[in-house]
Amino acid sequence: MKHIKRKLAIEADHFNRDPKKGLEFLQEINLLPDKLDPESVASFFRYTTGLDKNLIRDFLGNHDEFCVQVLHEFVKTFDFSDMNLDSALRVFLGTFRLPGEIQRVLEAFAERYYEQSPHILCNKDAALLLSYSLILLNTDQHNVQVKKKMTEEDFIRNNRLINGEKDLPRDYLSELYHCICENEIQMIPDQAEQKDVLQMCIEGFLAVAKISAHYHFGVVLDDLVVSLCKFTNLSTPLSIEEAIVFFGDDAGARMATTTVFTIANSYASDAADEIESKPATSSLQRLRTAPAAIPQKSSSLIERFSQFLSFDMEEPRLYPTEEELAARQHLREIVQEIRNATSIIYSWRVSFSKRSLYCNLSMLSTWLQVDSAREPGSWMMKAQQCFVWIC
Amino acid sequence: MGILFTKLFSSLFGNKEARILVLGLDNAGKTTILYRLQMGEVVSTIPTIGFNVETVQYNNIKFQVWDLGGQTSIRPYWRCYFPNTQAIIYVVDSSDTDRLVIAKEEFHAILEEEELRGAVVLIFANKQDLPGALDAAAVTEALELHKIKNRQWAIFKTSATKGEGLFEGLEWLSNTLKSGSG
Repeated sequence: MKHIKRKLAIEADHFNRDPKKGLEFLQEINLLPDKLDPESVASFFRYTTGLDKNLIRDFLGNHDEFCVQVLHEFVKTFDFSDMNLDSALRVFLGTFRLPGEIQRVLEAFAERYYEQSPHILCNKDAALLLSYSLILLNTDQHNVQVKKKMTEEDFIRNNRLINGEKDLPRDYLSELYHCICENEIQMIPDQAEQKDVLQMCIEGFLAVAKISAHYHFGVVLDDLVVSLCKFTNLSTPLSIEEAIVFFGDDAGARMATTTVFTIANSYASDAADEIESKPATSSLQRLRTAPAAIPQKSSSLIERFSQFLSFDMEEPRLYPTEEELAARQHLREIVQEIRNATSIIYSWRVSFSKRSLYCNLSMLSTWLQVDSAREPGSWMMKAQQCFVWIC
Repeated sequence: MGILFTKLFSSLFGNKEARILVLGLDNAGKTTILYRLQMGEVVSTIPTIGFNVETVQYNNIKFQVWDLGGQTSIRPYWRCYFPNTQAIIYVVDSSDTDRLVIAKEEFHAILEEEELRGAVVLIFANKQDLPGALDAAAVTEALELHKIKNRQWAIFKTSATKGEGLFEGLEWLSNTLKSGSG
């Protein structure tokens, strides 16, 4: 199961780069049947995390016959039983971006909703009309371009006679109106949007680090580094290739890693006292000793990181298919990205006082041993020069 | 007298605002037109779930343009969009001759809506850059525009992707809206 999950995460990335090839690849690794059926594709869209919601939109909004079938299967994956219309819309629209060609998508939604939660609606057209109306209201109330907003009376008037040529109860419409006004229908944020949130968290972490360093709260710094290390996910028991893909796709892990080193770099001298006084608990020591689940592979965060850095120095393995070559190209890009982040780490080494360096000497040497086991590149030479210079 | 003066003043100097709906079958080019018209600063926020709405300032008129997305069969769904609409921009794919009949039927159905009785109509015969696109006269005939009664209308040849013809249409619209109620 875990294996499949891992494959799916890689697949999500494939799909985001080229939807058509992504689906073909899924067929090749037997996660989708040889003859694509709408149900399987719909499940893939619905339950795979990390897919680009714009691409799902393009697919589901397409008028191609197969895409329409997928759309209908897609709505069947939702359970709207006993839900208010606005809640159902929130759940549904949270999973992908609503296409400009809105009608087909909403028709499919309304049909499913009416089937499961008819309540006072007398037919599926009423569900469709009211869904339209709610989306219009959502735009009206929450789009900054719209200056003159719809009133409750306007809303009720606009929805007259939509329930099989009869009016819906006033209270019912009124409640919907207030639900939308007070609580915008929003999409569940993508990774890109999450990045902003992560950035804010990281800034918070850095601020805490700054304050603790100023008041010499070594223990706080320690704890900070320990928690950040958890988020780096670097000690996950995966093969190096998979770990790189995960690391590359996981913006949170990347940012946490950079932050760990930033903190170590900026406040190392404060932390160094801690290292000396309480070497066993020091988080910076833990960077070295954090055990990984697979002992014969990487044994610490730093080593795993070194593996990342030196990954593309290795001879290409036997990668027969185009997909895998593309995957490797992607890995290279990620490695490059990681490497950019590591300039901080070299300066970290430099800025360590000699005393703390001594404490960490064994750590550094392990690091470099791992590195020099591979073919050294120019960046590695530089690192070794730093090392020599400090000593 | 006071009201008259205010109206005169605003027609000379002030900014009028007009609510405009962009309608048409799917794939006619509505969204492209909307973003071609929009010259102002692009606000990059997480887009609101719903329809595209942009404000276009032209000749002292602030057009608030709603792109309601493509519709295949519209009549029952439209009432909630219509109130307070001063103008409709109806977009036709001039190269999609097969669907011009449907476009015609939908167009005349829209005009029958009570809420839109006072709205002026601007027709964009779009996709003129594509081979086989009908010219304005042919589209006028296909849409049976001569049947329009008691309403100001105009048709312009456009190519949204090249940005041609759009501002001529907007020019007509702003003049018509100004003289209509100014």
